Amino acid sequence: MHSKDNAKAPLLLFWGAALCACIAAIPLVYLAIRIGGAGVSQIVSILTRLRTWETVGISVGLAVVVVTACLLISYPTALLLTRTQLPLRRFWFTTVALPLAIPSYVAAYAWVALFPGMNGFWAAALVLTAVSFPYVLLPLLISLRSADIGLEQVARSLGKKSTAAFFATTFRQSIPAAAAGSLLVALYVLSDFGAVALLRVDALTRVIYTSYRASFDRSNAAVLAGMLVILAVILISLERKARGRSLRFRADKGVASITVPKALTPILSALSSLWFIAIAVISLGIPITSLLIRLAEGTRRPLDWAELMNAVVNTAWISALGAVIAVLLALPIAALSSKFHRKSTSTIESISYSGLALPGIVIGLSLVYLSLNTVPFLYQSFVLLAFAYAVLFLPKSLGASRSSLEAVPPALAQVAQTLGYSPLRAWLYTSGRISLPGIAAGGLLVMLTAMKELPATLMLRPTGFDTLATELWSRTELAAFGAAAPYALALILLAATPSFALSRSFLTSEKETMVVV
Amino acid sequence: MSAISIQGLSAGYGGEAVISDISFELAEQQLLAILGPSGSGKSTLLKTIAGFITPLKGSITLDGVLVSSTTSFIPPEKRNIGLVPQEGSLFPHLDVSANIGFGIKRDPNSRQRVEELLEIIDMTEFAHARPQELSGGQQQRVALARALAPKPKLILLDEPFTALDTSLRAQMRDDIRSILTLTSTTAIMVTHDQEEALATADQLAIMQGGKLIAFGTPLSLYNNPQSIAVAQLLGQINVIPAVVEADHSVRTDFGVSATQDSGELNPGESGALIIRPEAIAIGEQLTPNATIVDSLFHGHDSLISVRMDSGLVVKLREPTRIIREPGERCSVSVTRPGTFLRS
Repeated sequence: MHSKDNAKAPLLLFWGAALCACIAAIPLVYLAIRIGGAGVSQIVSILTRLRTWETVGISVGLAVVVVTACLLISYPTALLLTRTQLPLRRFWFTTVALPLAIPSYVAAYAWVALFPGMNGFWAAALVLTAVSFPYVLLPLLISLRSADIGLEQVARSLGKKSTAAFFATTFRQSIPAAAAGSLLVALYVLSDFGAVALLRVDALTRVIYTSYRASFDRSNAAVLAGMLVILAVILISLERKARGRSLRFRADKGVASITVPKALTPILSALSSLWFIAIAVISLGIPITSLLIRLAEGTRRPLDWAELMNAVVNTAWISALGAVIAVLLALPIAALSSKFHRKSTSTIESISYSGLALPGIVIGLSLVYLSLNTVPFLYQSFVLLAFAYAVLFLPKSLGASRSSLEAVPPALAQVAQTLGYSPLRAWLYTSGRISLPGIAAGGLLVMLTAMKELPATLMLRPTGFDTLATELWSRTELAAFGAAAPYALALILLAATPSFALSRSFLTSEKETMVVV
Repeated sequence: MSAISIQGLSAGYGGEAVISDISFELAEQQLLAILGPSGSGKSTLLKTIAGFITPLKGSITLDGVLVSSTTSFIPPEKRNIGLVPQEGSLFPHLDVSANIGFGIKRDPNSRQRVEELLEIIDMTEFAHARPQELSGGQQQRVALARALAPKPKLILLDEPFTALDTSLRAQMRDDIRSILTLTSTTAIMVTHDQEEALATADQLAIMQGGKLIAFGTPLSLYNNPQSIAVAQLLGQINVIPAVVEADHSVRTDFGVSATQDSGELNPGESGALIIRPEAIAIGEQLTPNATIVDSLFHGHDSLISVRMDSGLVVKLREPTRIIREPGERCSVSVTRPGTFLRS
């Protein structure tokens, strides 16, 4: 919002930020090195295997099915919420955002615990749709709510019927929002490890994990990880484009006229209510009921509180460490890019966003190879696990730090300087001090997200170090569903916190919000 | 000794000069207004003086000390120059007292100094108010006090009134003017509002396209501009074709008139006479020589266009007594000498 100086950044800040970006890029670079080390003939042989393309096909197919299902759910839902006098409208408005609070593997566990034997492609599609459709629905709600109804009214005055008018105007305006949301869902599905692994779908993430575990064919894991990264990069760049377009569309507009919600006939009212009840049952009711049944049933052994507390404490501190590293890496980059707008600065920024294109399983894999081959004393160390969290969730911390730093007028630091403060002190006492709450909130978001992280934790955790996610995982693998329930509940409570904040900011403001993937 | 002296200064971003070849001197306790349209480089000049931009050429000397040149450079925090930016420039996390005391934390008498300044800006009862609770004018007064606290040699004001309502501006102008006089402070103010510049400044610098095109007192620049561009920036003008006569007087459609610098004119030279609308009057009793074209009512005065019988259209300003109707005949004469500019 404030004009950026075209001036050169101080050298120290520039190189500090460049260093942080390079550190964040280590996993990606090492993965490339590892793939290259496999040799051309081996890469070719992996790429020509039918099995490889089957795996890619399953991942892509799953993404396509889930995205389609999300769109089919979100459009009618969004229209009912924004355009009609649906009974309990406010209640449903809040409820539809809640599935974001359920990590995919917790949802998968809950379904499997209720219907043992449930597995395969369609089961995974169902579970992933149920947890990820809010990524499409929420941006769509915003878009439809802010769409200029004036255009639709003009179309109707020009003789179009109401549905035709809607499709010609408002629907078109909503396409970029729906596209951006769909791409996020696709990224979510491609990166997901927990649900596909629990439901035994041979998608890329699961095959990477099993090849790595089998350990005789690690090049296969690396090459598949590379393919996953390429798919993720494609999705991210498409998402950027779609989001850019949706913002431009909004910026061009003047004052929008607001829709008057339509009254529904009793029959339509009942049908719509049924629709919402069905969504709530599938996305929230079934997982939570299953969880509660398992919790009530208990285990044959009583719950080991010490073990649970141990996992909670482990999860909390290792995630906090990751968050601290993420904030430290993000700060110089955010300080640079919030103030100096140049080509070199935006390159640094894009490099540091590489965490977005690296699913947890890929970061885990890359850091395992890196530590084994070059720094063996770091293999399965706390530092390496915390570092994995930091790289994975750096974009969140960076986004939060950057936007809160950008909100501080640069004149403040200049005034402090004219009052005798050195550049660094001036920054600390003004921009740094004022944006502290935002930076801290970004750190907290990283911590809360890292607490639910599964695949990288599985691969990198020190032997005997258990977190909530790994405890849930190992119990579910053994079909000890009752014993897993308290961990699942704890994870949902953790995940609910940022999702709640996220959905609130989604609904109360139209600002761009970072999305939990 | 002058408070600030600038010699042949060029500066800009990334090696590209935004301002070039600027030279002027300002005496102590004077207020200089830098006037220019947006993009004329006036903010760049201010930032270069503050030390946020290093010059490409030339030098800045502050109170006899060389602070900026291509070879030596004193950073902003060691210059003892106060800065009052455009708007929203108070530290939002600090109250009024803490804002004012920000630059004198190490001074043992800082509390006393803060109280003194609160009195000067007449805001003692707001000592513990948060910036968000203050009006725009109050915020700017606190920003000024904050800049004055370490007793700087020079205060820089970057469009200090832009964020204020028009009704507040005149009041704020007077307030700031009197605070600066009271504290005997030398100040440089950037503005794009000519009225503000003329009303506030002791000295006026006019910038255009990164160059200093005029420097002098507001009165001399207004009444005796060196170019049409300067004349236009300071208010409305009439540009009337004129020729120098043998006796060094200047002949125009209004007849022969004296000019302010007639001694330097060569007979036969042609050019233009610059006459402000308020230097032309309608005299009722003489033989008519013009027709009213239109009349814009401004309240305290009216701006009237008339067509001279020679075809020339001029604008004049007169205190509103009656509304002049288009087509009305009248007699028009020049009441104050204009400035002759060679073409």
